[in-house]
Amino acid sequence: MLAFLMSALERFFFRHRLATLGLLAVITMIMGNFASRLEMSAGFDKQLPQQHEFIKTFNQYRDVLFGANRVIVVLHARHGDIWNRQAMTRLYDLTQTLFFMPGIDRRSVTSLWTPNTRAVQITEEGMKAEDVIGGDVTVSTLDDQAIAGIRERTIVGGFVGSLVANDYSGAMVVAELADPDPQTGQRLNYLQFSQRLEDEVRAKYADADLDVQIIGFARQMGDIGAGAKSVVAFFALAFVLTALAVYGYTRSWALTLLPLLCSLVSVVWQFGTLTLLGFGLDPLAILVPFLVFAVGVSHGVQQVNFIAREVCAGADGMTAARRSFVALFIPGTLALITAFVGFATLVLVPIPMIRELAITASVGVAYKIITNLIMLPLMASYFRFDQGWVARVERLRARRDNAMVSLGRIAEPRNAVITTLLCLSLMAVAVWQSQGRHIGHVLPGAPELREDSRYNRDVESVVSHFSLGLDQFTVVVETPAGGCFRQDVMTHVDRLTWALGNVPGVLSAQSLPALAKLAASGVNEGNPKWAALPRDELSLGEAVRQVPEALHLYNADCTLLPVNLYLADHKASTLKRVVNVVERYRAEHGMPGVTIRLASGNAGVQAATNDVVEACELPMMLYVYLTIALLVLLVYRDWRAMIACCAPLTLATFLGYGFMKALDIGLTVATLPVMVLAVGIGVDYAFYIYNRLQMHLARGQDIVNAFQLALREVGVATVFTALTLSVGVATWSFSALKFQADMGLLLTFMFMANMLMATTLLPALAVVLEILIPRRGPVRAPLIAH
Amino acid sequence: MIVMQWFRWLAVAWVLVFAGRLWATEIDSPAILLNNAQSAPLVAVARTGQRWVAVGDHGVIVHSGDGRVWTQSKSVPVDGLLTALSFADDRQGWAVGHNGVVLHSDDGGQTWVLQKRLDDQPTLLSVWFENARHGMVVGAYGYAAQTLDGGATWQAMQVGEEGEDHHLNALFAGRDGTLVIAAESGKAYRSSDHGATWQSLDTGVSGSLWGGTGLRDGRLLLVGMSGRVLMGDSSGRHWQRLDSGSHEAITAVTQLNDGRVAWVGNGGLVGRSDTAVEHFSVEQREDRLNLSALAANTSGDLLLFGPTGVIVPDAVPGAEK
Repeated sequence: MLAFLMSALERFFFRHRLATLGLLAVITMIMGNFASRLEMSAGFDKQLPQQHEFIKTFNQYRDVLFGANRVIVVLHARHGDIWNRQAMTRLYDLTQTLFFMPGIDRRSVTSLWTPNTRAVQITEEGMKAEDVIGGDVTVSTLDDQAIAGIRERTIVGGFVGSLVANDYSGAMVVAELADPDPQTGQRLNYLQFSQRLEDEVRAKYADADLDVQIIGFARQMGDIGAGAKSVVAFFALAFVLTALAVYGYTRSWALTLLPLLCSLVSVVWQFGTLTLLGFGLDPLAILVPFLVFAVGVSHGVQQVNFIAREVCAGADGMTAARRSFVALFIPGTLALITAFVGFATLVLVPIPMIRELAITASVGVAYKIITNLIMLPLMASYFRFDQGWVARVERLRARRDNAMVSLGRIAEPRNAVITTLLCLSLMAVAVWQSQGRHIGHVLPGAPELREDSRYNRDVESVVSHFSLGLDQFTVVVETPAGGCFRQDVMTHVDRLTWALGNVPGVLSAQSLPALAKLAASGVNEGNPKWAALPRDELSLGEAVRQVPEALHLYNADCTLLPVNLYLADHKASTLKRVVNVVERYRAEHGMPGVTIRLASGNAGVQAATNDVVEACELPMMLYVYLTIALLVLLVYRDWRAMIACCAPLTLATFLGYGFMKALDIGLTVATLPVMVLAVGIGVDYAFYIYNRLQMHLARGQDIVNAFQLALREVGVATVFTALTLSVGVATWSFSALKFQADMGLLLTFMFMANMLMATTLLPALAVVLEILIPRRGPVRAPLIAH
Repeated sequence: MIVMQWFRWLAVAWVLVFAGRLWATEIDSPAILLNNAQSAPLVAVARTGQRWVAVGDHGVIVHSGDGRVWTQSKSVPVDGLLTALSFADDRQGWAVGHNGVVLHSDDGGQTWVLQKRLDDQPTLLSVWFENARHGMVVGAYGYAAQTLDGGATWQAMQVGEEGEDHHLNALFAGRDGTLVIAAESGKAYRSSDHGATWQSLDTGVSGSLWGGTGLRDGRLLLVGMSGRVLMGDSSGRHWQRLDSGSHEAITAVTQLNDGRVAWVGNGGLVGRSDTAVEHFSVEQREDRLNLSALAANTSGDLLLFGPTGVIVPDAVPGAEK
């Protein structure tokens, strides 16, 4: 039945090969047209699980909470402090430049030089506020005495740690961005704005004495955008490396061209589909086209391998191509379907970016059935191979076979048992080692960028010199209107603030009641014994009004009282601790009309993503493994095959977990798909090898011989494919984007681990199973033969 | 400015709508146990037996035998701002705070119960117990009350003239048992009959007085805003202004074992006198913390208390074991 279908397909395609290829060329041209319109889009929101409780809160209040759109420019003295004329003058210029820069909300610009920086002194006559740098001080009149006065007022006003570094080594200009522009209503272009900061601020004001450090969301986006551009270069590099490797394997430019061209065609189709679906190419999802390309190369090499073998055996190009088509169409389709299902399960992860990635990856893999299993052999049928090439390849094959023969010794019973035991202990170590692996981002700074990137170095410097945390976690408290003037509501928020402020890992907790208490002390002559929330609304209102609006600790109608936490780090354990305390607090201390909501701030958003990624990982893996197990069982109708194919994959997966832990790579939006996809691709190796193994077994070979034959036929191609793909993705580890580097490292490791397991553990396990539980009946030939 | 105006009206509106209602919804919540309670904001300290006990915001009470290692008192039933405490002996102590809170301990400050919430929930600022039965509290807007049964029942006490509503900031006893209250706007009061009657003192100043202490030679010392230090005779009739060398508000003062006086204040102020208590030297801490209490340990080093909790003097090499 199956054989009949195959020969019908073969007759059809090879009889109409020109028409078929012509049609595919037309499709490629149309898709290429769409693909050329594909745009790079770094979507921050797409990385967030939009339906998660925290993200709903974040989306609802993202424009009104503190720090969402802040840019911080620090003038840092490379030697000594900033209390000198040069630094103070530079700070003035910096403040002015920022003030007049388009995209900046001028009212919000704050530095020692701005009139909203005032030092309050409490005297018997009442509160007296004066500018830290008053109108009588100008750049031209700055002398030692004036600077000493500024320094004193800075200290009195409490600006050490906020506007001036704790060790006086730097001073800060803070501004909020006007986005959208209130006059034109246009959204701010973050990449342009970031470049402007670089050109008009850093380039202009940094020199040998003074350094300029710039941090903030806009700057972070700018650096990620710049890094994302390099992704294209890495893709090109990976392509070239793959091409060279394929040539090294085939020694024929024609056979090199075939898998690369066919794989590229499906990538073009995929890009075209992306445009048609209305998606952009996300730097985080750049992995997908490459993976689709890689899957294509992997199957293409199997085809080329088969064709070359046939040609060497004396067939002409046409015959070799036809045989290859017939032999590989069904196993290839099955392997691709496995990968397809593996990729498609990712749709279940409720994060838009992973969904998008899942859709495009599955579509890409589906295209492979056409490009690699039909188009490739059709094209190959036009090639002629000269005898010189055949002779060269024969010699090469002999050398490679020798290597495979020594690898084949693994199937000898003694070696098989040793290998299995070794792998079992390796499994135990890997499972044990992978315990407590990281969830989420581990290293400090912006997680998308490398630790030693300019941005993260700036962050590190600013955090270490100022009393400022960049891992902000915001708990949003919704109150009835006028909540700021109700002592019970304010006490409620104050208790929450205090409880959170004392969670290990929380550096400081800021909220309206916490500051209103200090203000209450202020209006009571500065007496510390009055630092409590006044019971009557008038006094409470008076205290609340002392708290600067710029801190965004309340909204206009006082229905929103956020608690801002600054965390020591954004490790999953820290975030979880905070979340747990909030959840316990709101369960134990309910107040009618008051809702405590998680969570905003960069750390809150990360907590949500961690939550989803962690919860999804196990089900995803289970779905993928279940699919593979079922398919293997279906194809080979043998439970031994299932174990022999899945055990190596499982070991590789756990080795991958251990690898992640050892290299501080956390489970993130970027690495979760990698782990799932790696299983889908890894099963290819197992498929190709086990397929040959079972065929030889069915023909009556004993297991040792059967495996050695299988290795000779497909082992070299498998090892080669894994090496090629590894080299390609390994280059990613030099990327400026941390997540791309992480993906590259992890994928390289997974390719290699899967290949090693398929060529060692798989046969060893097959042999050991044969020894432990000998078969009673004859071995059935696989449903798919090649 | 318009927003501010609006807020003001909103505040008034809320008073009209919710006045009274909220007084009834006060719920006590126990102080939470902290990993590092000695870093909580602390405002007052007292000595009992062999230990110091300090109180502060969020119902935090900590005690220590050596001044270095502090332990949080278990079971403090309130979590508001505690402002003062007083021990009658090694075991019996009282702590007071905002909203009329009176806490009692009978184990030297290790555990506390809410003994009483005084009527109308006054803001209590100072407490002093003569013995385990007789004590008194003073607070905001001229509030004063005393107990004769160890805090079970309290009777209002008239300190100033009828209708006077100055904050009564600190209550302390002189060497001879005279009681003195340091109050708002330069006011001070004295009682020589255990609080039965009070006379107003003419301090000659108008700035608020925040604290004071009775010196061992019987003289009285009052401190307050603008770096004010007043030295009075034991009768409280004659007051002399001393130059403290600072304009920051002085929050607390104590006499050291060697007769010198030390004080702390806002803006990181730490001051010391000579043994005759005539001349002063002041230093201003770089952190400019608003310090609110102090105590001297056995080696004469000062323990300071403020918004960052206990500030322990730099460790002497070899002192720690």
